[in-house]
Amino acid sequence: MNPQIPDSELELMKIIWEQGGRALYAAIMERLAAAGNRWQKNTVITLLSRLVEKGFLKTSKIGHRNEYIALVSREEYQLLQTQSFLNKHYEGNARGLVLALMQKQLLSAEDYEELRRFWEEKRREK
Amino acid sequence: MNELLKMFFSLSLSASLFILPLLLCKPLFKKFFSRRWQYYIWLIVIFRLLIPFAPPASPVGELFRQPSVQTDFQEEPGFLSGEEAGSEAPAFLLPDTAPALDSSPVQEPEPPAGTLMPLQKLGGILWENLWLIWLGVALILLVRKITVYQSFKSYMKAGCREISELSLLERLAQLEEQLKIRKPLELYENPMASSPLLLGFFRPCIVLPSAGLPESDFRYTVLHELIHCRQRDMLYKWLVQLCICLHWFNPLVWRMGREINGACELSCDEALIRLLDGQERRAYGDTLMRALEAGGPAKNSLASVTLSENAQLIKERLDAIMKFKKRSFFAGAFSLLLAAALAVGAAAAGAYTGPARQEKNFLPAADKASQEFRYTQQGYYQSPYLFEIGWNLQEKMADSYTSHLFTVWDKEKQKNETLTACFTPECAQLENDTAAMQALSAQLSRLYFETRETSFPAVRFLIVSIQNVGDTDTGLLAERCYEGGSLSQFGAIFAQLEETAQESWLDRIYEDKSIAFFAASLSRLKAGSPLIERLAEKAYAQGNISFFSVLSGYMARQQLEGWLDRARQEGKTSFRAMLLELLDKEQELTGWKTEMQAQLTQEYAAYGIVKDGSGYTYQNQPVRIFLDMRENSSFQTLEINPQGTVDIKVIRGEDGGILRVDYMTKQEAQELLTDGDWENGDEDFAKPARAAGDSVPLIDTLKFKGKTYYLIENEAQLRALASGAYGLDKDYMQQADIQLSQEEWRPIGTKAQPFTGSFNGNGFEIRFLTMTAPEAELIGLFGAAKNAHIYNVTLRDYDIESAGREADNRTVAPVMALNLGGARCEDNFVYPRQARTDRQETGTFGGNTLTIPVEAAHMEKGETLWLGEYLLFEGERISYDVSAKTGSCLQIAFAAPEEDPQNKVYMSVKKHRQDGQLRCASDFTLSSPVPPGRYRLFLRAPEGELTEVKGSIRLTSKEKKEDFGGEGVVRLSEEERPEPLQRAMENCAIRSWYVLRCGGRQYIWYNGFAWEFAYHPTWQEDGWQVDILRTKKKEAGYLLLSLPAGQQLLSLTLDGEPVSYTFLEIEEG
Repeated sequence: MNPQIPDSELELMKIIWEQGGRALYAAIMERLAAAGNRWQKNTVITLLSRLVEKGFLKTSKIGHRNEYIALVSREEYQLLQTQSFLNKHYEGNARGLVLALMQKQLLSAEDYEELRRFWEEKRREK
Repeated sequence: MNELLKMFFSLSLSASLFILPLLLCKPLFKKFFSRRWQYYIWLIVIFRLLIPFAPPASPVGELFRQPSVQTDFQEEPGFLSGEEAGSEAPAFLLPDTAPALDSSPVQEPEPPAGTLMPLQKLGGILWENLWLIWLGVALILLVRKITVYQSFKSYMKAGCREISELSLLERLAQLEEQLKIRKPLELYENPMASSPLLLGFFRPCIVLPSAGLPESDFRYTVLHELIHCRQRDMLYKWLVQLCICLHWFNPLVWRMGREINGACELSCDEALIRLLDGQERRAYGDTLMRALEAGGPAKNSLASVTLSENAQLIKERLDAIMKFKKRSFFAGAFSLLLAAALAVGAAAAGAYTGPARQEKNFLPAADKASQEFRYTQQGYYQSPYLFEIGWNLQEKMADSYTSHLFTVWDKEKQKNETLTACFTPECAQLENDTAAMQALSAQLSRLYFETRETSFPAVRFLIVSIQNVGDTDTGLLAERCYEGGSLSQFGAIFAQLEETAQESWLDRIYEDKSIAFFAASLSRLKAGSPLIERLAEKAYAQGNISFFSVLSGYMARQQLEGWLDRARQEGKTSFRAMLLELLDKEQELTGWKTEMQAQLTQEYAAYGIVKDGSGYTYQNQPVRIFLDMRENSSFQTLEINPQGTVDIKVIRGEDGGILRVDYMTKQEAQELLTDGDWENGDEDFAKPARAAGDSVPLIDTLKFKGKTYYLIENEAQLRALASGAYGLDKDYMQQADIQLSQEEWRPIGTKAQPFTGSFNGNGFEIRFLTMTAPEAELIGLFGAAKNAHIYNVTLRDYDIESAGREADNRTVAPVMALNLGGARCEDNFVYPRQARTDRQETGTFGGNTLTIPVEAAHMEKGETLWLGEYLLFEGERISYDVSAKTGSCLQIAFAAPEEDPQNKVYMSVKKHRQDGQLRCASDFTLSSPVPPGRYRLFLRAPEGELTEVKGSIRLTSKEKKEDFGGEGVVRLSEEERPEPLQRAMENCAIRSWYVLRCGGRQYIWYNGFAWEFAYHPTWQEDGWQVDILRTKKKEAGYLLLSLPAGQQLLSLTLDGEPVSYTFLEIEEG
């Protein structure tokens, strides 16, 4: 599955994840309005149907209302994105990323220590 | 199936008639009508192309329906009238060889030579299957279109990228909202697209060549596509494509397709422009221009509805945009009108919907109806051929034969008439025999001319047989046919003979008594031939009635009248009778017949034959078989009476008079009996004759709850019952009032054979029971009964006084005289003819006036003379008239049975001597406060002795039966209802059960009871159980039963089922 989804669609996914992975259409609209997004009804429908097509969501009917169920959890998505990012920019090797993070001081010393210990353990387990 | 093709051709033609003007008038339309009108007006044409609707007689339909009769003929100059018999064959036209049944519009030519045949055959086959070719092409085209569409769509879809820009999606949603489109469309971007388009049929989506459009462009583009979507232009386009496929042969339809495409875009523009103002319109035009520039190569008009098709169209559209103005109301109305007119026109233009219902009519002048039914067949001789020809053959029959067409030139009508001749298989071989055909043709045209002016002109012939008899002499031929017994052939030849020959033939036939040939020959004679009269003379003179009757068919009415006169005068009864019937002289016939009957009776009388109501008697013996047969006569008598004892036959002489009367032999009788249809023949003779009164009357029975009840309805049955005919142990129910004749009544049941069954009078009466026989021992309706049950019997006006005067052991009782044990006799009512006062009936009495004579020589002081116990009712008239010669005081009064007359008396009249007279005379009516009931009448001398008390006391009860107040359930009739009850009944609903209490009685009432019924009241300790049984269906009726008010009605059942009733208390007065 291609993890790339446009921002607008991601927005919707976030809402659904926040709702615990399932949300009624009405709930989604409400959350959007609450977040200050005055999207048109048709737009939301279009985006949701695209997500369904891409396999991120599936629909189920409760009465005559639609409920959208996330097929991909947030963690899974993050993982997919990370992997895709790594593949794209660091040839699948996390080392480079960590290095970059350290270099840009995006990673503190303590964080790095923690990470190293975590890595040592992982390696020994293998 | 060529019919289908024809249909489409006609549809195409019909529609084309409209496509052309629509195309031609385009510039006109552009000026006056909206683009939308111009776009949708084509729908009419599309429907015309697809739907084979046509009024019965439409121009286009008729065009396609031309009858395809073809005759290939060579004309021969001149013609000859068919009237001339025999000698010259009239000129006629060669018969056509085309089989007339083939429905193909072009007749198959004769195969001329070997080589040409396959090609022509091929051509023929091709023609036959033209429709297949058409359908094939149509299907191919359609399939192709679909596949192209599919591939384009998938190609497009492949290169599509979803437009995720929120702003664009939002704008799309807003535009959809504006146009009120509910389901959102997907928005894609595909650089391959030639221009913005709407893709897909079922779930359309908008495809833009690029997402980076300026706002206004985006807006107009999307609007445009959305409008296409809303207008369902895809559907319209596909409809058009269907038309093009089916009518692929019609270039006009293709042209129409292109036209519609253009109109589609223009109408879309128009719809869009409606929403814009002037400035925006210019902007829209700009968008169009830009669209033309941009865009990729891929386009397909079928799969997409694009923004721009070609430059020409764009130009037109730009033009239209700027020139747009709202149409006036009138233009709108007019456009509607024109559309309607076109629609009607298209419908009326019609189409070919199938072959004409009416069959091809070869002789349009002839009346079809008359041709149908008359069929005659005769032989015709046209040397050397002998034909058997019949006409007119029924049309549907004609189909099963091969037929030829013959054309005849009718000089008078100045036109060719076509005659059909159908050949039976036997003659079919001679089709190719030109000589035979010529002869036949001549004969047919002769027949045609002969019958032309009649009501049954010959038009459709059936040639049954053709025989070549060679050039034989006709006389010889006739001989041969006569000897051979070939009737029709003989007739054919006879027709061609000379008059003298015919005459001699007829004589011969007459002598030979061959009536069939006689008739056949007569039919061939020329009308009005003197031969007929001559032969009639012969037949008449010889009394040959059968031949005479054949001849009479050829005589005019006047002639027959003449003959009738002669027959009358000369007393030729048989001829007279026949002629009378022929001439329809009903009156004379019947009158004459009665005359004859009278004569006959006289004749018979002379020989001791008498006919009365039941049959014939010969010398006072009843006749079983009576036969009077006369030769040469139309009257013949044969009568059979099973109850007769002798069989006789009447022998008549030459002159018709009776010679003698003989007894038939056993054999003769047997023959006659077994002959004919006497079904019960033998059985009847076996039974002994019965005396009139011996038959037991039939009796109906009714089954109820396992019991069979015999229903007594009349005197005969009652008397039959008494005689034991039905059985003295059966259950009987009376069904109607029975009035007995004054004949002595024989009681039912004797000591030796008592009645042991049951008899339910059912509330009906038996009147005038009379017994006067002095020696009768048991006197009454029932003589002796044992273990029987006799109830609800009513005897009225019975007279059994004088019976049994001289009997030793006389037992008298009106209903049941002697109870041998176990018999129950209850709830019966009796009214003697004249109630005698010395018979005190405790119980009931009825009748009108009861006169109680009083005669006492001497009465002591204080003595009470009891005069009987009587039932008095409301309104009873009581009159006292008693006087005493000596004495001072007289009292007449009634006392209630339980009360002491010393203390309480009713209606007391006490009189003292006055003016030397002591007379109690008083008239009054019983009324409240004196209650009706039983009272004892008495006379008293309260103060001193009385002598020679004389007089009478009269009690007059009302004649209504209800007044007697019996102790039981009784049947009432119409007249017996008291006023208040009557009124109450009128207010009751019909077909409902009521129990009404009025006065001292209760009434069970059911209005609308269409049955004869029997009722069975049973006393159950403290109330009545009344069972009602339905016995016989009636037209209408009611049920009314009455019982004393004081006695409760416990249950009421109908045929065993309990019924619910309404209880009403009726106020009186």
